Amino acid sequence: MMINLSNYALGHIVLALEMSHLANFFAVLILLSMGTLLFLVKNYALPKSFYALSALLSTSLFLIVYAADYLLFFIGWEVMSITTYFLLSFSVSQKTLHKYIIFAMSSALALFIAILMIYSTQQSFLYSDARESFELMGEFQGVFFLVLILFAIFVKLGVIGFHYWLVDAYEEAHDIFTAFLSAVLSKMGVYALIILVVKVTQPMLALAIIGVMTSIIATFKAIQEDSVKRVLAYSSIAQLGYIVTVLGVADGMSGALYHSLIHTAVKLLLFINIAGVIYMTGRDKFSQLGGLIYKMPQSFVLLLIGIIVLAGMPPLGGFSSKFLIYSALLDTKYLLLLSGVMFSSASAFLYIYKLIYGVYLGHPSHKKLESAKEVSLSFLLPQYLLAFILITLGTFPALIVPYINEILLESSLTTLSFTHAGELISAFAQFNGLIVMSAFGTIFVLVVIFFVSTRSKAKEAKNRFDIAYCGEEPDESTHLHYGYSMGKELARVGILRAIIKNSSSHFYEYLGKQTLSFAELFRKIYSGKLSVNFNIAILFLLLLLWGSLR
Amino acid sequence: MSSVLFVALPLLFGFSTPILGYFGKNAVAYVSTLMQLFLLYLGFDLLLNEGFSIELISIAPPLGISFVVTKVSLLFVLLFTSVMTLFSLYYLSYRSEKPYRDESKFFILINMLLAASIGLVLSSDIFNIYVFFEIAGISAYILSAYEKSSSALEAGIKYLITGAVASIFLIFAIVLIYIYIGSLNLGIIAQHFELLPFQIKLLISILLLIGFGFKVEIFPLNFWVSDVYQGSSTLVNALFSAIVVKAYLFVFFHLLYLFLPHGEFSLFLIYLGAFSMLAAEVAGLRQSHLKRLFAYSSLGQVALVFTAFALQNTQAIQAALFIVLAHSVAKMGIFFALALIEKEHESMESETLKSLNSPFLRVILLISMLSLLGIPLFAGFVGKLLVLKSLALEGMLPIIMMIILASLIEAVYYFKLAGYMFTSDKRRDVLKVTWAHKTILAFLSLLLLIIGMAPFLLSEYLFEASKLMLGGVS
Amino acid sequence: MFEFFNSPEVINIIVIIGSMLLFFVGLFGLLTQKHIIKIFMSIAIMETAVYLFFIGSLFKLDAIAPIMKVADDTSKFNDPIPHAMILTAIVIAMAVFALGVSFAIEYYKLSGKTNIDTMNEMRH
Repeated sequence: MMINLSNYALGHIVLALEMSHLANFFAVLILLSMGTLLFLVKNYALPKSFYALSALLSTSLFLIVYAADYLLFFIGWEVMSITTYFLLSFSVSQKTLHKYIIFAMSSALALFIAILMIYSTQQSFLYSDARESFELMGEFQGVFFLVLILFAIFVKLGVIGFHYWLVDAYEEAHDIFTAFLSAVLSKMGVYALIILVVKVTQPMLALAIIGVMTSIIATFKAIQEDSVKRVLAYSSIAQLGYIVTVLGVADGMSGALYHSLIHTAVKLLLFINIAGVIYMTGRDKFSQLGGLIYKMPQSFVLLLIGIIVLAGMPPLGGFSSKFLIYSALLDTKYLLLLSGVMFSSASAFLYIYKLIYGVYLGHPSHKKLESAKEVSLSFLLPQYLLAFILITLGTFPALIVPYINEILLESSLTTLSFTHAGELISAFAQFNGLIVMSAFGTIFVLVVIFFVSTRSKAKEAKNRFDIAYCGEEPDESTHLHYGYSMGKELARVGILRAIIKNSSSHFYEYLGKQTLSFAELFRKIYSGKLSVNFNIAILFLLLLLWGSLR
Repeated sequence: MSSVLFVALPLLFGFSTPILGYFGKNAVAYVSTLMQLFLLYLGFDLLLNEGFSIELISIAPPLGISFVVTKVSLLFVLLFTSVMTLFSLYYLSYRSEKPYRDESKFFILINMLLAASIGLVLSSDIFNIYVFFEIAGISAYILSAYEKSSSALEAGIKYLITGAVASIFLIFAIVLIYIYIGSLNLGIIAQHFELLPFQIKLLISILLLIGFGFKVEIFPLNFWVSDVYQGSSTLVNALFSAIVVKAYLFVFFHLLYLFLPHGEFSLFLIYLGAFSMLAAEVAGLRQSHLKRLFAYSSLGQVALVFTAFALQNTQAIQAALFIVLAHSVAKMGIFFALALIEKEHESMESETLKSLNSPFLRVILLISMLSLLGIPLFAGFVGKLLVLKSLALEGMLPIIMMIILASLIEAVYYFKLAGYMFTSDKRRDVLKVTWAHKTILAFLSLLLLIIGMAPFLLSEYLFEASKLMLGGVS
Repeated sequence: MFEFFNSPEVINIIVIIGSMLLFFVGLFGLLTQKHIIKIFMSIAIMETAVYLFFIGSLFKLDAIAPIMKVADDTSKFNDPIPHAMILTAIVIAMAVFALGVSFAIEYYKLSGKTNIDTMNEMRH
């Protein structure tokens, strides 16, 4: 369905909205996030403008998704960036905010140049003419176009090297908004990548390589972070890295779409869970948390489900999407990429474990944690909903395959074969979620029965200092959580140190400093000294005369 | 009804002020405002009745003084009159707290400025243009130095010296034109200009560029602007950026299109404009004084208009007209709001905004800045989009990139201000804004939103206007 | 001996060269002088040069004043427009300089400065 808007436009620009299956898919992601996050808002005293801005933000997101031309897309993109700025401004420090807006504006403006380049070849902003316009461009222009578009998207996705703004913003943003940032705003980057790059060009190996590098580096950066939200931010980057990787190879769209859905659901689950923990305890560092399992058992189980999905392990939904990603990489025989993705996936266990271990297991590191209670239903309900989705997608992995197939058909790509909802079939293998789930379920029940029946009654601790501590009396200054500063030692490994210690921030800070000193030069010229003014003016006149006489 | 009224009435008023002064200061203020409202009514009357005309106050046809009212000149007349009316209305409420010294002279000056700017736009006689150029200049110099503080006087002196130098180059060009063509009428000059020897054409063009270049604030000739904005009083700055520079811009390109209809120097001017924009925005990056900062932003916007006009095709001119409107409205909003802030806080350092406690003013400043930046949904976006679109059609990628880079730098410093306004929590007492000020400021912001969301309301008129401007009806 | 100078072309050339020299004298002053009154003087010299150039290059020796009663043949008239223009321009320029000098005096009273390069109340 296409709505033509050209009556309301200027200067012969054709604008249109289109309701494609792909657009609907991403609209569902937006609705899912908004729906689940709405449960949370009543726990926080949010100013009215927060709601107004959120409404504007969602409008811009739907505009991005349903636009059928670059111009409306750009308008949505820029409005999204600006509203995000003001939504961040409720809690974020000025420095982070400034960092964010510089990156966001560079991204939007790079996109603007790119769409103008597309426009200049065929005088049309429509997606339907984009492929042809791209082919009409010269080689240099084509490359330049791709660089601009990819820059714009990478900034939004937070691909390593362009993530300078992202982690700080995620950490400092309001808990609800962090979840929205990770679940939806980053998906807009994925959508843009599909619409503006994948549909316009041939598969690009470079994209896949960048994706793999991103996920590996982000994974290792996540491991040694102490802040929960920062770990989740890096994890977002890493997960989006997988999506970028699979979009860089042929036939990777199904995996990318599936993983987008899974990632949206799981990041919502995790961020809501962590928001609940922060709401209850007021602490967001691993070193200040721990031992919450007895206080918040339901949250613990939900987080457990979340991290199993995040790790991409069977039997839950995370494996289904990883399965498609691995298959796509196998299919194109980029085995190095595949091993990269697997390496990063495996390394991710280190920080994924930290999430459950640092927050819920171990020993409480502060007395405040002893008075924590289970979070209210408004936190739990959305988590149960998301957990249900994730478990269903694990059991019936092919449930959404018919829908994905329609999207693939629409973009004239090869579809996945489909027998029944329990069986996910790729070019190489198939896996039956139903069987896997029942096997896991049976084993799980057996283990639980065994554990419960053989478990002896342990002695109840009187307080949290009631532990053996090498014969010493622990006090407030002792770090009781035995996972304190876990992952810090990784920096001793040579190659990992290179990854963890080096940062793109040096480059950006250098760039900022150079720009400012350049600006200082111009500021001095503009200081209004009249004689300088006239000397330059006369010089200009002479130059003009000389230039024109030549 | 004659278009001459637009020039005659404000001048007449100006010189009858001493008589009016007998009836008290208020009489001057209110009569001046009423007169401007009447002019506004006349303007809309002309617009609605399509009273476009060529009017001669003649001795004998080639020697006469002629005023031309077309869609495009009427657009500028309406813009100037509305800006001035809003300014007066705003000042009526402002003066009860902080009036200018010697108010009746102030009203003479703003009316002279209005008359001269309208005269610049309407007249189709190059010597008249010179005369109005000087009248507008003189009133602007005095307005700039009006507060008689040493910084105001410094601004006035710098403005005056550059203005005087500019007028030498302009009169030199006019002299050459008269020597070689023997007429001062723009229409006759336009007919003969092409037949002139190439060197003479070039010399006249360069002299005109230098003469007007000082006034339209183009790169190597605009170093005085920031001082003038900083030294002048904040309210007057609104006039400088909404009226004075716009009038000069219109005249410069009006002459250019008449004399060089084939766009001989178009490419050079486009590069000049784009570079001016970049230079101005870069200079603004390290600026902490608000008035000076917005002076740089004015330079940037004017340079963008310059680039658009220099493209010399109807679409680009339409875009330029959009930016002219959007910039005037936005800058009025900004300087009006800054005037209130300056009165309260007695400082114009950008850190002042951290303690600004008035959500209303913060939102007004924000909307105006977003519009200047060219963010979608605001008026500035339409203009910027159309300029970039016409540049894209000409395949001028480097220019597009320069403009976008300049916009990025502009965004950096605007959002720094936005950050000051919206993240800080050490606020002072609530800054009270009177309802009259609130109405005017809200009206300006609303205008930006309306133009931004429904540009099709204006686009047809502006397109017609740009065709006329390019077609060179003189 | 000096009849040579009476021919109109020579006079025109002399006036043109002279006025151009004057123009550059003014320009030189504008670029080198720092005293504010001297700047005004330089600008005035430049302007005068332009006026001289205009009058000089259109002035005909053998023509008469353009008054109808003296002669009916308009072709013998000197062109009156340059004179009218230049008179207007002189008036305007005088107004500008008077204003400028008054600014300069006020400024001097307030700050004691006359050098344009030290005029920097607003170095930001």
